[in-house]
Amino acid sequence: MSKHAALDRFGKSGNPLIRSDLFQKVALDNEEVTTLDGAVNKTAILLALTVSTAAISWNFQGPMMGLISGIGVAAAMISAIATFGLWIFSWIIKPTPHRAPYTAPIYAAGMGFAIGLISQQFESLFPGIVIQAVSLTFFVAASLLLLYKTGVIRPDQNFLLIMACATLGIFFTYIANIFYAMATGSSFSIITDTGLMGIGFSLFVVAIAALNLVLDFDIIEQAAETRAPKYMEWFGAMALVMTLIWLYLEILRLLAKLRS
Amino acid sequence: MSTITLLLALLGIVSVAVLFYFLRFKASSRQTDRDNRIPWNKIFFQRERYKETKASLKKENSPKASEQPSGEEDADFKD
Repeated sequence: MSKHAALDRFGKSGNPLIRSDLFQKVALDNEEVTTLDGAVNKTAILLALTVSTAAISWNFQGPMMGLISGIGVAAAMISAIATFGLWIFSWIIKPTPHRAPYTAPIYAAGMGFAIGLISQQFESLFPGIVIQAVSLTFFVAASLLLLYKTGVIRPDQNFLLIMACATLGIFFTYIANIFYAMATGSSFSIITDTGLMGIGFSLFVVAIAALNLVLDFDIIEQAAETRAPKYMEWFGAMALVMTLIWLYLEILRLLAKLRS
Repeated sequence: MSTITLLLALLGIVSVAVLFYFLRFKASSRQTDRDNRIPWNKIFFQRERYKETKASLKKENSPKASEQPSGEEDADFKD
């Protein structure tokens, strides 16, 4: 017996429900399993859907498209909550990854309409900004993927906790900003400011969004490693596309601030 | 189109290719062979795991109930 038996035992629950071998969720023998190729293909499908709907809303501007974009964003938000739950408040709404094959395409298509509309507005103000933002988004994603795959960035539970706190902080700042804007008619200066503070805030948000990609890569990697059920391909792809969309919007905002 | 936009567009195309190419590869052992990885299974399969484990425990416990020693055996034991 290992002399570290006590250490090995430490932290393990006495609850038989938790101790059980079923703790690890793996696919049954006759069930299809998650593969890296599958996750990549699903990511490509979702991105293609997003780009397609973004192209529609880019080309067909008008009040009707505004309404469609609004509905798209609402559908995307419902899909995201239905799949990921309120992740950090998982005791309220638990994550349900098995819904991802149905909710991921809805999310991608819905967000595409909004992205097309937003991008078109930025492009009319700052010509060429959309190509720059898209390129930088994929450059950041590819760089972080290489850092993750080579093991330079190794996410652990502390990393997850820090990222969750930072992401939640940004989320609450944006929510508070919406209420503040509704009450006063103006936004928090730190979000819209084109000075050093505003650019610093945008850089911080871009950094947090980029580091969230590492978590998405880890979800896909572990799902493939542990032979998770096939729907985890959709789940991982959805997580990755969600973060890419967030990163793109933040880079777009940062570039606009820099150009102002 | 300005030169910087053109250069960034090229960078973007290369980055998309790199992203989709390397995403298909397994991560290095430096990444995978460590004890402090994030337990995504625990996070995402909490509800399903609970249901499955509860069902299996119920199944395990039910035959044991029928194998309980009879009253006569208890009496023998007391003697």
